[in-house]
Amino acid sequence: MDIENASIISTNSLTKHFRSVNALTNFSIDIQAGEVVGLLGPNGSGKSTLVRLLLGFLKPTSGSAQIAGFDCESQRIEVHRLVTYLPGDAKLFRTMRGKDVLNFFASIRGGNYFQRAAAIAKRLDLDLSRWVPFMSTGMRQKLALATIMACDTPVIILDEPTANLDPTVRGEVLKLVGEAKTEGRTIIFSSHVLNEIEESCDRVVILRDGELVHAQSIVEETAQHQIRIQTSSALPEIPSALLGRVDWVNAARNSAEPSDNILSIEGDLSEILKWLSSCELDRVYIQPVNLRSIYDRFHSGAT
Amino acid sequence: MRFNVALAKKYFRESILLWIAVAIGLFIFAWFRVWIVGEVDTARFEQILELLPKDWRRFSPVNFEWLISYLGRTSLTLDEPMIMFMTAVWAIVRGSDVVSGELNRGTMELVLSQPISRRQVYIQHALLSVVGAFVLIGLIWLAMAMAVWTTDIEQSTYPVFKVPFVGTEIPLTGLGAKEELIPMVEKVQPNQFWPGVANLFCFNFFLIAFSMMFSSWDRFRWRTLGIVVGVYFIQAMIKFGSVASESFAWLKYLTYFSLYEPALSIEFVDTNPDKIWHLSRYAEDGSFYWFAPLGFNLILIALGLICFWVGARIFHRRDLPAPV
Repeated sequence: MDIENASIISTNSLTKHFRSVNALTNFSIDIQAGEVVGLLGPNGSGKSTLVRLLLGFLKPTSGSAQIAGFDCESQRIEVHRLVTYLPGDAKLFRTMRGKDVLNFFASIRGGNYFQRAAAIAKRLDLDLSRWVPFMSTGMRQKLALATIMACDTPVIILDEPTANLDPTVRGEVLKLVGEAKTEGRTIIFSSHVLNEIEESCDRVVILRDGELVHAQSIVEETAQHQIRIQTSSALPEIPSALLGRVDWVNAARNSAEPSDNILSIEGDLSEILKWLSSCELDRVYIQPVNLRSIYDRFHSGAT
Repeated sequence: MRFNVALAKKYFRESILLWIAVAIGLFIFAWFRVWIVGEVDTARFEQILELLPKDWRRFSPVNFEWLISYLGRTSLTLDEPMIMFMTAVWAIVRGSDVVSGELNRGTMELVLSQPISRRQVYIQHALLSVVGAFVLIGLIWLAMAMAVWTTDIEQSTYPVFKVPFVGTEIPLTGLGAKEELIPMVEKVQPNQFWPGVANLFCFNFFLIAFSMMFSSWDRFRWRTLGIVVGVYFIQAMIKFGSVASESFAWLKYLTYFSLYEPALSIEFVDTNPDKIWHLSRYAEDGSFYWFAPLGFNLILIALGLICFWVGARIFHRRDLPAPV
């Protein structure tokens, strides 16, 4: 399989139920090789379940997931040869020093893994001679990052990689992600920090209650604007020529009071501004759409 | 399945301190216990036993007459609660670690996100635990053997009158006993302990597998330990009940401790060298009485293999929860 050009990660109606809890429902997505995809959603939205299904830690209730053509459940070993994974709160072996942990992974992964991992650890200012139990949470996360980012696998799955890290190291982590992206590696990046996703990812996927509710490329997102309109009159109808590019996100059509109404706009603004200038409006505010506003559409007040 | 050296080293690191502690304890205890036997003369020991109520004899795993011998008394080392406890500590602690231990510590994810199969994790852990138990039990034998080789025992001898021409020797007990020291090895050969040592190993093999089976199903190490140790004590109580009263003798079918009879194994091989390959023992009327040492050991190994297989199946199919 030519993983350079094909979709490297693919899920088909992937579903996982834990007794009565629907952790993930009919999740279908295709991720291209070299793409960086951000997973967004509050706790319990299904991000970690998705990641654990991709790694074969969980058995799907129905549906399937494949990485580079290998089934994530029945061909786990083949999948793990292609994937490295950083859990949210990495727990490392407490009977080892930092360098022993790197040696452990080096002897599994082979090649010049140890040198690469040691170089990343040095870059993250990590003391490898320290015993793991005597490392702080942040230090352990750095060590886990060094072990993961040193692997030269085509797919990297990062589950909240910057949790427990100070701002300087967070920046370094985002640089590492950027470098991996430059190398053409595919990355799934789960995070609660919206600007990290916005900075690092090509596409964002938003989950709610185990369902995929929105997927959008970051390039498309930056081409979007929101216009907030305050009016005491009836809201104008969207002209047919603009339908498809313009949509009401929030409209209080029947309100007698002046109300906030939000229009979502894709692409060039000039025609929309012409239309709005012909309408009877009290106030108009124009702002570029950011991830926060998209996220809030689905999880208002959730984070 | 390819042997993963990194994984083996990891398990070695995690278990070596416990192994050394248990090994030191077992070695010292086994040596000391055999040495103690040499300190008490058989005749005096017999007098001590005579003072015990007759009812207590049923708690002896072996025939009382055989128990009085040096071999009987040294063999009881393997029935000592201390030996059972310390070997069980190794078996249960290591066995319970394989899945629920790693899950509890949160390290299973990192191990299994590598190109390592669950089967590799399970089998290599089992292998290291079983080899650890094998060497520990080998050390018990070595300690007992060294004690036998280095201990002298007192023996009372009487002057003898040799009947001329006939050559018969008659002990002259009226002249008083003469005490002399002889090496214990003249009375006991360390090789005679092998049947008991083998039974101890088979029992621990089963215990490791039993603990691993529960570990595969569970996600909390403390709960696995609680279940396995709880079952262990209940089984021990059932065994006690089965020997305490004739009317409860049927309880022996409900406890795995009925298959743990190291001193009895030694006695059986010592007194029935021609029946070493027999699987069962029979009463005088020819009815089935109970298993022979080889039968104990084969059943323990078979039960252990079943537990290993069940545990491996559970682990292979189960969901791995996120660390708490």
